[in-house]
Amino acid sequence: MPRILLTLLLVITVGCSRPAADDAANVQLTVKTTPSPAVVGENQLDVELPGSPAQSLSVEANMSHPGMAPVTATLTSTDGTHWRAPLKLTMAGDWFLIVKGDLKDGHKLERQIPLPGVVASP
Amino acid sequence: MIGDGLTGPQLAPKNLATVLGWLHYRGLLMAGLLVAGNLFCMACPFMLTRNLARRFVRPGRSWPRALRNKYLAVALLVLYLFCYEWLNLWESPRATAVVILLYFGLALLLDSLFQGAPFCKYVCPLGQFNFVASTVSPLEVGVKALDQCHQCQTKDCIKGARGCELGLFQEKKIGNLDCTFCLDCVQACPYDNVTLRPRLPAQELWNDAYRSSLGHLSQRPDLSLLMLAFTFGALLNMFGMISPAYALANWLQFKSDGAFLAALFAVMLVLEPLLLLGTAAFLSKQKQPLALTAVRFTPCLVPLAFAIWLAHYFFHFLTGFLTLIPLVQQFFTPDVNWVVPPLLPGDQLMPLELGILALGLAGSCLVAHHIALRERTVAWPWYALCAILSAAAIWMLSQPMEMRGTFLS
Repeated sequence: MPRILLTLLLVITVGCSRPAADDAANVQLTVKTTPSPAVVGENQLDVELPGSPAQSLSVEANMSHPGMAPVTATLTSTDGTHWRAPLKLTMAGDWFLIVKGDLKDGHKLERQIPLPGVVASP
Repeated sequence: MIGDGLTGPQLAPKNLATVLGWLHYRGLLMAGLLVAGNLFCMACPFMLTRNLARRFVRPGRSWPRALRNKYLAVALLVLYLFCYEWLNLWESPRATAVVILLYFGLALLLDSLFQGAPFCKYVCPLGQFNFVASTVSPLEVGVKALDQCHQCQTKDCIKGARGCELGLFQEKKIGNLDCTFCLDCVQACPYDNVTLRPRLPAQELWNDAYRSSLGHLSQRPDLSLLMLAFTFGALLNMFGMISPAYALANWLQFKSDGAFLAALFAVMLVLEPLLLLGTAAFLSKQKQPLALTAVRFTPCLVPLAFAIWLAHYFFHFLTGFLTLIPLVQQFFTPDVNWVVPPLLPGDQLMPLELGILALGLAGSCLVAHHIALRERTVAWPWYALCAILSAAAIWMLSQPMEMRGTFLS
């Protein structure tokens, strides 16, 4: 029994110690897909960071069901505030995006953006 | 799982509760049932709280006689499947953690009030699933020599301090139904006459001899209903994640997801079984009520249903198993690569699933053949029914997947 309690305690402790990455909570971020709603296949992803230019930005798209393969994309930009990337989604349904980046002021950004209702290509 | 589900990020693919609960547990459960037996009931964590509580509380009540059957369990299994779809449990770590906590609480409450193991035998929906699925497992708990049992005066396997809490008397026990593989009987037998042994999978499904605590399968409509929920629930669970389900929901224009799901459950778990089994029973031309014929032949659907669950869960398990690696890594570093390969390449999944279904169909036809021999009637209506269900499963597997939190867009 002590071993079981110790294991439970360890799991809970580890669960609470997951590192947090976002230290730019006040930064405004907007995401747009073309077409909208997004479709299975090729989409264009536009991310705006008005007033808070970033050095690098990446996107990871996940489905709401655990175990489905995520899709990643590295965004490119000329001015640091408007970022763009092709995003190839593999299945219809509910997705969410995780946008990660390094801002030019040194802060780290990590946001979750829901992308519900991805539809099959016509 | 509970800790991460309640306090961790509410992202299903990145939380222990949802990934371990809906991906690894279900895949390993089916693998265990396929190669051994009811291993997950054997290692059930919900019994921890019960065994701990019984050190302090001795339950004095007997489980109500009116509830000593599987009707409540069937209702709870259907409710469980309904809540899975309606509340989108797979995408909510917190809801998954709450379900686990409710399970612990209910097991503790019932088994603190009532003698024996009524939670396992009459309530637990997961346990009922495992009981039915383990009828196609290759191992069972049984006696080595019946002669030894006949000479036994103490009957420790049922009456002893570690006698079976589910009421299974080894001398009359057949198969895996209601057996949690706890192996208490193995330890209880003073003659070392109870063991875990290999057997012919699914053979117990056509064996209608009297079995301890269950009686004759052919006289148990509640068990038949449980097998039907197991069978048609397999198709329903798969249907809920393909594009046609969402297209149907939008076409029917229900006002809420709950209403659509209620209608879907009514059609797939009530009307469809009534129609299909009624027709098969009618074509069997037996001089007895159709319901009785249906009860006697329902066990033949179990191997195919097991194959449908297996194909479905193995898809998720084989594509997502390795997400366990980044899932653990993320506790120590924020820079984790979540793109991991599947255990089996995508183009090999469909042939594997079709192979599993083919084996399930063959198993169901074999059981139908033996039941028909026993009942002295024709088996072809039941072969046809199994073929129809197999075709439905293949159609669903070939459809584009779609997973949403709501059916209605």
